[in-house]
Amino acid sequence: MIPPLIKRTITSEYLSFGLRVCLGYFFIYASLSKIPYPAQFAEAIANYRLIPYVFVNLGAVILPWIELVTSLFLIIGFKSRSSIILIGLLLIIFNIMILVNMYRGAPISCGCYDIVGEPIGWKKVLENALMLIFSVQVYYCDKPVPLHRLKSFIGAGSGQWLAAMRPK
Amino acid sequence: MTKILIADDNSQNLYLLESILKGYGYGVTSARNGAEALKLARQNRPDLIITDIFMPVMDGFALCREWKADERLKYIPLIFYTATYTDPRDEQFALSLGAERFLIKPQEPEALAEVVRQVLEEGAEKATEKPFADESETLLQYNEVLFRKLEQKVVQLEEARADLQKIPAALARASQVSLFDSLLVIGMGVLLAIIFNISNPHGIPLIPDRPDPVPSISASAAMEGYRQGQTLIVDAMPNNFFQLRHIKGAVNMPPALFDIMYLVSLSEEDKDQKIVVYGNTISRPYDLEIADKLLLRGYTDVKVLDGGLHAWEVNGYPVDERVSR
Repeated sequence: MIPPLIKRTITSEYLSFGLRVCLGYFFIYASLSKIPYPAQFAEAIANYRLIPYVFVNLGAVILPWIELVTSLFLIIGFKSRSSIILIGLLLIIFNIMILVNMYRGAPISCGCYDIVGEPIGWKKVLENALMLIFSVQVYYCDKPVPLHRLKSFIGAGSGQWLAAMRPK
Repeated sequence: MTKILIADDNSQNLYLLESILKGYGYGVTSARNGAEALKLARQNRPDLIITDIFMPVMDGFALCREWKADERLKYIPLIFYTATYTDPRDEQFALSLGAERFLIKPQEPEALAEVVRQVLEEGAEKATEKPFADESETLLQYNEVLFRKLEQKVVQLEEARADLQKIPAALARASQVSLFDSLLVIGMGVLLAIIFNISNPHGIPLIPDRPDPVPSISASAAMEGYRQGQTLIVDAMPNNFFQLRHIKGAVNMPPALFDIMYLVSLSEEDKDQKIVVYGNTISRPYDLEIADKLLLRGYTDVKVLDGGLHAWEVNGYPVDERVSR
C-alpha cells in the first residue's frame, strides 16, 4: 500500500500544474529550435527511415507546430486534457521510433531539441518515458481552472486596474 | 411600541424580516415554528403575527387554526408570508382559516411595511368579523392543500431524481477527452504550420518533388558488369552506419558529402564509366538524388540498382561490412 502522504503528493493538482509547466517548457523549447529550419528537421525525420518519403516534409513542417500549440495550451490550461493526450501520443511515437533505430543499430541523432541533437540511446528513451509518466499524472490528477473562472479572475483584476487608473 | 411576532424556520428569512420590521420601528420577536410562536404569543401577546406556512413541528395552517381558536389570541391579526404555498387555492384556504392577509415571498420592504401598517390599522375588529369555517370542511380543505403540495413535491422529487441520474453520464462525458478538442488542437497546429511555412524564408514544399526517374538495372545485370570490373558501384546512403553491410567495393557517397567524395573518388573516371547507384529508404530516394547529380556532372551511363542492397544480398553477391574505397 502507498502511504497516504505520498499518495496525496503524487495525485496533487499542484504537482500536476508543475508538471504541466515543465512539459510545456520542454516542448516549447523543442519546437522553437525546429520551426525555423524545417529542411534540417526533415532530414532528421528521414534518418529514422520510418516515415514514407511523401510525408517527411509534411511532418517536419507540422510536427513542431503541434508541439508548440499543445505545450502552450498545456501551460495556460486551455484544452489541456486533449493537449496532454497528444503530447503523450507523441512521446510514445518518438520512443517507438528511437527503439526501432536502436535495434537496427543506426546511431542517428534524435533531432529532438536541436538540429544536430544528441544521438539516440537509452538515455533518450528514459527521458521520454519519464515525460510520459508526467503526462499520465497530469491526465489523471490535473484540475484545470475553467475558462469562465479565469475570465472572471482576469475581469476582476482588470476592473480594479482600470478603476485605479481612472482620473479622479 | 407595536410588537410583531414572526415565525419562519429559515434563519435567513427570519433575519431579513426582522431587519425590515425593526427598520420601520416595530418590536420583533422570532419563532422557529408554529408551536414556538404559539408559546411565545401566549407568554407575551403581540399586536400582529407574520408566519411562514411550510415549517416543521407545526405548520402555518395549524398555527392559524390554533391562533383563531384561542380566545386570547384570535383578535390579533395574522399574515401568511410564504414562498411554498403559492397556489390561489392555498390562498383561499389560508384566508378561510381566518388570516388577514396572504403574501407571497419575496415582497419589497416598502410593500411589506404598507401591508403591516394596513393590517394593524384595520385591527382586530375585522378578525372578529371573520366567520369560522366548519371543522370538517376545514380539515377536508387542509387535507386537499397538503395533498396538492405532496403531489408537487413528488413531481419535483422525480425531476430531481431524473437530473441526478444524468449526472454520472455527464461526468463521464466530461472526463472523456473530446475528439473535437483534439482535432481543434491539431487543426490549429496544422494551420499555423502551413501559414508560417509559406512566410518562412527557409520553408520547404509540403510534398517534396520526387527526383527524375533514372534507368534501373537488375542485381544480376549489375553483377555481370561488377564481375568484369567495368561497373563502379556507388553507395548513396547518408553514411556507412546506416547499413552495416555494403556491396563489396562500393564507393560511399552520401548526399551531404557528394562534392568531396566526387573529387576524391570519381573525378578521374571516364564520363562513359558504367555506374550503378544504390541506397533507397522509405523516407529518402538517396539513389535517385545521387544518380541525378552524377548525370548533371556529365556521366552518361548511370543506373540505379533495382531492389537495392536487399536484392543484391538475396542473390548471394559479395557484401562487406565496411566500405573499401
